[in-house]
Amino acid sequence: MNDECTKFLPKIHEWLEGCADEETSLLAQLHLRSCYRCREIVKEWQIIAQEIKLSIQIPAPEGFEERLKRRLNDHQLLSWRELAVSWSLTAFSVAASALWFGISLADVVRAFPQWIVGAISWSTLPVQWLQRFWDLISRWA
Amino acid sequence: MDDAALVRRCLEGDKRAFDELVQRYRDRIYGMALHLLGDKDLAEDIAQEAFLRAFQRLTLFDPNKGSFSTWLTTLTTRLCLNALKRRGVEQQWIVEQEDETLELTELGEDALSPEEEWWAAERRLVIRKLLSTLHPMQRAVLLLRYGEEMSIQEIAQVLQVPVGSVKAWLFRGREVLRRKLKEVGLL
Repeated sequence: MNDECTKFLPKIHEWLEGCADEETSLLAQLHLRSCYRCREIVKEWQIIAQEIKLSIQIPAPEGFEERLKRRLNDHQLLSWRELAVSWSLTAFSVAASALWFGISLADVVRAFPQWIVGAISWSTLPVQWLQRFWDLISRWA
Repeated sequence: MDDAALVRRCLEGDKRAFDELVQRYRDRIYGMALHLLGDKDLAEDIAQEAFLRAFQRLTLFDPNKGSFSTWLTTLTTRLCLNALKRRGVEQQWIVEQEDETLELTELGEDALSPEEEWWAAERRLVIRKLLSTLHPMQRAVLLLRYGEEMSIQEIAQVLQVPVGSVKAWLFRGREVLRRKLKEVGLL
């Protein structure tokens, strides 16, 4: 393999993989036509690709499916358990909040009449002040 | 029945449909994991994890975007690469590489039988060993391209790397294999 082949091999590879531009494809094909050594390399690459394709499948160990099924079942059981725990926690939080809010609400309801009386008395203050002011003026006069 | 139909049935609650998918792909997925990880127990664990995740995420599979096989292979490859990262394989790979070279020389000396079949089987065995000496990314690219017949763009997506890197790894990986096979007289 000479320097020219070394330069052309990546181009040939790109062309074979279908990702070369038009110019690279043309150059690769022209070189291949004239170079026996590179044609041999392409054949060897093809053998390697074929061998990899054939060697990709390796029989899974015995009991693979049973172990997978067990894992799937465990996972589903775990999901249900997680779901149950999460629902229980949510229900507990809701109940606790409701209880706390219920007590507060009861306090609010219980204090409500006092608030009303307070509000009414506050609203009558300006009238009372006006009345006192009027009394003072009348006395002075 | 095709894969997409089996996935549909599985989503409808038919567990046997998933069993059928497992039967169809278990050897390929296990083989892929074993080639990438080089450890039988870990390969089985990762292959099972891949099926488990596929089952959990079956609703995310879109047959219009690609085949089930590509989707499952993507899951497996990513799980394997993560496992390799966790194990800090970079260092281990260098050590393995030295060991494999020694084994390879021995194999080369024995490879003298004229039988075509024997040669092919021997070559396959050596290729498996040689693959394990390559850098994990080169190995992944070669397996996805020639084993799974994915396009270079698809591989770039699976590995989340630029297309240029895939091309370079593919070329270098194939060249390394070719030279080493030549050295031991199996090409």
